[in-house]
Amino acid sequence: MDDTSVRDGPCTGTIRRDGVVSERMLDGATYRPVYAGLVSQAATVPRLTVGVRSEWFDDEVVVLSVETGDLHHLDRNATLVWALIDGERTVEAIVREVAAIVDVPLQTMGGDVRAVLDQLCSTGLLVLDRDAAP
Amino acid sequence: MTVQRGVRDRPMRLGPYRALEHRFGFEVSDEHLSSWLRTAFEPLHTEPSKVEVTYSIRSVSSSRFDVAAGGAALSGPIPASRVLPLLLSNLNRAIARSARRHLVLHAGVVGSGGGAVLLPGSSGSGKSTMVATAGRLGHPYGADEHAAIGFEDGLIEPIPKPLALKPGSAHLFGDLSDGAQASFFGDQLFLPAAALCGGLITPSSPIVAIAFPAYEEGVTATLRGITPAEALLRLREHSWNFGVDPVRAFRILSAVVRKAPAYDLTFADSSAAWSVLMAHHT
Repeated sequence: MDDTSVRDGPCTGTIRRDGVVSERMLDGATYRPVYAGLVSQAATVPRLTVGVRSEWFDDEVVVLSVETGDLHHLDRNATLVWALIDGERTVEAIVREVAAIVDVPLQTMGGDVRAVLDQLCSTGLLVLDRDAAP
Repeated sequence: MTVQRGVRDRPMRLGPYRALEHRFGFEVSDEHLSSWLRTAFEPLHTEPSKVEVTYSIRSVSSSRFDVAAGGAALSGPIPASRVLPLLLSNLNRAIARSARRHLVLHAGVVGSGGGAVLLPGSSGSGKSTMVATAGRLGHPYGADEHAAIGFEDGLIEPIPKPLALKPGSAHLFGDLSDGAQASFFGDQLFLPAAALCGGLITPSSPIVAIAFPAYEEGVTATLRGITPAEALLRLREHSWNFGVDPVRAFRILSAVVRKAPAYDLTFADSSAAWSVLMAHHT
């Protein structure tokens, strides 16, 4: 494995070739995986982090991160993406479906959807699993 | 009323009292303070049982008191005006920490139409002023600092501790201090539940509305509806113990905001604010 050491703000870590970053907070107390590169790969399959809970209120979703006790309020775009995350759809499939629903060109939608997925990953609500792709 | 010296050789024991799972009592050497505490905490009096913590207030000089909880000093000798604020702030923390079967929010609770209106807010939001105003208008009193929501049923457990009003609003209720029950300690006014006109809310009351009060000088009282999702996030911010069991807390708060409409309530005049809330809610 050809790894690269990185240091970014309060974090230090190692990027593996598959794009997964093992991140270690400098205080040494907290470890959390983050994902670089995987979201941009069409075959990646996002799935909910174990223990994450969500509640729907009409077209809004509030998500609980059990690990931190934090609540996250998803806006309409994020809610649409969230609704399509079922552990089976790939990033590409999600982009396609969102683009069809909101009637926006696929290329435009791709960046927005990936940004949402990135954000959901960085807050620990999602994990990305390339191996799970069909 | 001011605390006057009437010191006994042996302190008076008061209690036991219970608020959520906190069982406590008082040992007080000052007769006037003892009398006030007896009245103010009467709604929390409970059957004889083991007291977990005894709060002691002892006169150490003509004008100063030692305050301790379970034998541990809470401060050095302090003037009478600081005794009750110190006692209540420690009691508030102990009550919140004791909660096992309830999610505890930093909120006032007032009865309305057989249910409970939640008034969640930080210090200075006008929450206690709204509670006192509603009480004077005849609405049943539920709580000042703590709203306790049952994890299993989502219903409100009243915690009718004395209500504390800060100097900014205490003058609005000065008429209540004419009676023996309401008392100024320093510049804060403390109102026992009995000083309010509406009695107490029924235990296990359902939450029928949520209003987030925000005092703002000079504004007209206005009510703005907020979405259940927004209300959920804001209730979590006002929670004392959400993190102890986040899954259960998340579930019960979600159920609450689905049933009870939530509002932002901006006001300068608490009576007008209450009228606006009731006109909309009913």
